[in-house]
Amino acid sequence: MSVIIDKEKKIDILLIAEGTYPYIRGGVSTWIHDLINGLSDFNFGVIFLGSRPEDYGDIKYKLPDNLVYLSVDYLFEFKESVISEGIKAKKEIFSYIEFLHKWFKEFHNTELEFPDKLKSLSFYTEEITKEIFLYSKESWDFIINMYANYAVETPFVDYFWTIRNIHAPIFVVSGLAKKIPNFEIVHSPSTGYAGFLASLLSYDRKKPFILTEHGIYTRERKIDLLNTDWLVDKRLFFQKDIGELDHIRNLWIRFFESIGKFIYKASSVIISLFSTAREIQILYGADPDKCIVIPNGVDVEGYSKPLRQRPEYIPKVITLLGRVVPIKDIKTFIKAMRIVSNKIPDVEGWIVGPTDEDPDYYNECLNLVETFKLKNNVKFLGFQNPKDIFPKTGILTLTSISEGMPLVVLEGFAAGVPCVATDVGSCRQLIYGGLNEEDIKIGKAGKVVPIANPEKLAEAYIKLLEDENLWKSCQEAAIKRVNTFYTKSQFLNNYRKIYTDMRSKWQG
Amino acid sequence: MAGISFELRKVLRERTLGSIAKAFGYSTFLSAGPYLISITTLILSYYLLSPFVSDKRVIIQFQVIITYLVAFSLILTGFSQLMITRFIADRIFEKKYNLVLPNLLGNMILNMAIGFIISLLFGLIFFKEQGSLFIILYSFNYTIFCGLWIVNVVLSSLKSYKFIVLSFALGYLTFLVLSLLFVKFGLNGLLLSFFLGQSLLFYMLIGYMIKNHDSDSILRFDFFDKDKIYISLIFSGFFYNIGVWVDKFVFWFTPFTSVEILGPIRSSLVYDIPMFLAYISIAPGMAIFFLKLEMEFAEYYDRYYKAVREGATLPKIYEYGDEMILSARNVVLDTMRIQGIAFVIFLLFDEFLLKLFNISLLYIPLLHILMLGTYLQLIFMSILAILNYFDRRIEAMVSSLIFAITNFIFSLITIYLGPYYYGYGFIFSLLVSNVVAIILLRRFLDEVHYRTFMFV
Repeated sequence: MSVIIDKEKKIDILLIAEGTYPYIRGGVSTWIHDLINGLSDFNFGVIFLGSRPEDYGDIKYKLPDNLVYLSVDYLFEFKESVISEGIKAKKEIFSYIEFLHKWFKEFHNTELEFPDKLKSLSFYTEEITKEIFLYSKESWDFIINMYANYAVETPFVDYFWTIRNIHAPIFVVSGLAKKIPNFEIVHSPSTGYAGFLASLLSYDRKKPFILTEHGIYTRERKIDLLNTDWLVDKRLFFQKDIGELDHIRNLWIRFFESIGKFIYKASSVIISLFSTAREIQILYGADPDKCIVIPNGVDVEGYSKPLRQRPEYIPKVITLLGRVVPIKDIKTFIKAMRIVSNKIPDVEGWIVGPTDEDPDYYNECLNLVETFKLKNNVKFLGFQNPKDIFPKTGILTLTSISEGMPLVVLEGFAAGVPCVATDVGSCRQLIYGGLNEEDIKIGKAGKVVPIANPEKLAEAYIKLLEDENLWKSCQEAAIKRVNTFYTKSQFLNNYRKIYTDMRSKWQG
Repeated sequence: MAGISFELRKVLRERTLGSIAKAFGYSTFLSAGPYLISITTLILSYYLLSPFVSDKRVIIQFQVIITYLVAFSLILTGFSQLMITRFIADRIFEKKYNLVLPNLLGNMILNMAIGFIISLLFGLIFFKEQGSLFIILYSFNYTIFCGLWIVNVVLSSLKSYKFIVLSFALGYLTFLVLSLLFVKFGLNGLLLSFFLGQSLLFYMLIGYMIKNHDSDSILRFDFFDKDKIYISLIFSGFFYNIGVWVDKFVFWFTPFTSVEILGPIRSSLVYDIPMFLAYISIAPGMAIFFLKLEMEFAEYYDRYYKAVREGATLPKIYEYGDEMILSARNVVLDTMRIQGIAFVIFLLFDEFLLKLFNISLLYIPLLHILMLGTYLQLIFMSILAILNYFDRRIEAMVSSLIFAITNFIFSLITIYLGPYYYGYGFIFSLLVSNVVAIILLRRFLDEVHYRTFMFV
């Protein structure tokens, strides 16, 4: 554990950032940064959990003054320095572990209460220690037994390291928990290891634990084993059942589902960004009474200038703001543009976002533009400031096959641009309203279409561009919706309220 | 090694008795070549030079001095031998080829510098009467030896056996020819010719090393880097070399088993001559050990670790592991078997051989005992080699330390027990060390899978 900042002030809110703030730029990091900056009446601490030191560069954000504590730890750093020979583990420890494994296998019914041992820090630091797990003969025997029972066709080295890489961070974070200074509330922006650490801290210090899930970790997280080619399924064709995932993937998914449930149980409040996400959380075992939705907010005032700069007419420009990568499904957008340009020859489609992340995909997109003879209509503009783009844009669009809560839609709303998006993540809720009755009454701020359907997309584009009244009503709804429900000050007030409530509830 | 094992396999594929003999001969030549060449040349030089000297004591003095130089240079470089070999193997594994040569040279120069200083001081203190020329030749010879062992051990690990044997043959031939010319200058003449022969051998090996390794620097001392140095290997090499020589020291420095040769240098006729012969007798076992280790065992070893790395299932890994363990056992057992047969043959022909070399038959009883001792030392070497193969550094070090301590103590005890017991100290020390090494090796192999995976 290396402490980067310690202003020796009381920490009100302790955030646990797994691979995000302040070393990696991205959605969650910006969210944390805005939260700390916006709530200057609270002192924040950040525990950064990274994978390995070599994966990170310098701090990417200007750290706010009310960030009073920052420490850095790594989950996958196997220090080779001290290899403990002759570690002996008590037999009963492993029979208990065996019981736990059985228990986890059967606990899909969510009513089961977790064994108390799992909640106590000393179980991880004293009973089954990192050394016992990594080096003891008993642990080895246990692993090969499990292998023989469940995974006998899996490459053993992969199985072994999967077990190690999955479990080792648990020991890292439980070892950490002891060293973390005092705080009032622990807040984790994800489940996974960060959420697990927050749960242990909450049980150990008897402090409230707030969980915010940006995506659904259990669902989204890609297997982060240190060696990517491990996940090649080495079984022969005849060894596979149709649709069967290989054991290692299963192992991983089961592990994170279990840990996810543990974290849901431990948290005092479970926050999601939109209602669909909340439903998924409940499906995964979260208690509905704890689940609330707090959407992200945008700085509406910051977009008043682009709003004023808009021309009188509707620009015949459809803008897709996003990275040129398969998940954003740029190709469907290009196909839709072919259909639109048949009807409106002078229409333009702008793709605004970095093109270097997946060069192969970018090239395929370029070829598609070429093939469809769209060179005069579809343009890749690279990275641009959205505030310069919005006034020239008629429709903002997202054709992704997966999204969480895309802030860009709200930014577009604030700048007075209606949106056509695929039905993923929170897009439906943002465009049609869905927070509550009032939100639905505001009306449609654009259109939601099914994924990978160029005809439906094109139909929506044409309709909006040609029907000025429809477009105007969408713009009105967009501006109203973002001002009513999605301002940054509302987002901050929501969190301020939760923090204050928690504090008074737990102290009182 | 690929080259050597390939050639051996090609020879063996003919599947005739002749081909086995050929492979065996080739293997003997490669594995035991260097030490057979040096020992026999030293023994031969006595018969060759005798007619040309008035006082045979000069030759004896020369032989004993060289023996001392060998002993003390091996002990001094013992600290470096395993350590630098491992360092270079690690760099090759990392594909940092340009670090190989400068570090070898750095370590070699270091050993030579220390060797030169020590031998010069030693000479100035003890050999004042011999004159400055003697002191210079003596320390030059010592320095060359120190450099030679380092290059030799590294080249051996790089499997350049053929070239090593060739260089040894040329170097010692040069010495023999020159010694005939210079013998009229007495001891200094012999030392000079030996120095020139050794220099030729040494520069051939160094030249070969430089020719085959590119580098952008001449000397580097990266091997001192605390992350890359294995203290256990330093002591392992040192203890082993002490162990090999300590019984000889005991006999050399016990007044009633030894005679003064020159200043502080003493020798023990009763012990040294049979010891020389006993070391020659283990050449066949050396050859078999070499064949088995480098051909069979290496293959099973690679297969096991490849299966581990490349994602075999656990039953497969077990199967390969068992075969590897069996093969390790076979290395030791076959060495024992073949050397056992050789031992019996030497027993049958001992009289004949001693007469051939014109050595007194009084040595026969002690020769038998010491042959058994060197036989056990060969077994010990094979177990250590396997321990080192598996990178069991601590086990190898402990075994070597036990060998050094017991050989010293037991040899001292035999001195007090009297002439009938000479040589038994050496035998019993090796028995104890072998038992310890085998227990340690077995303990590791029992848990080989566990250790392979859990202690990466």
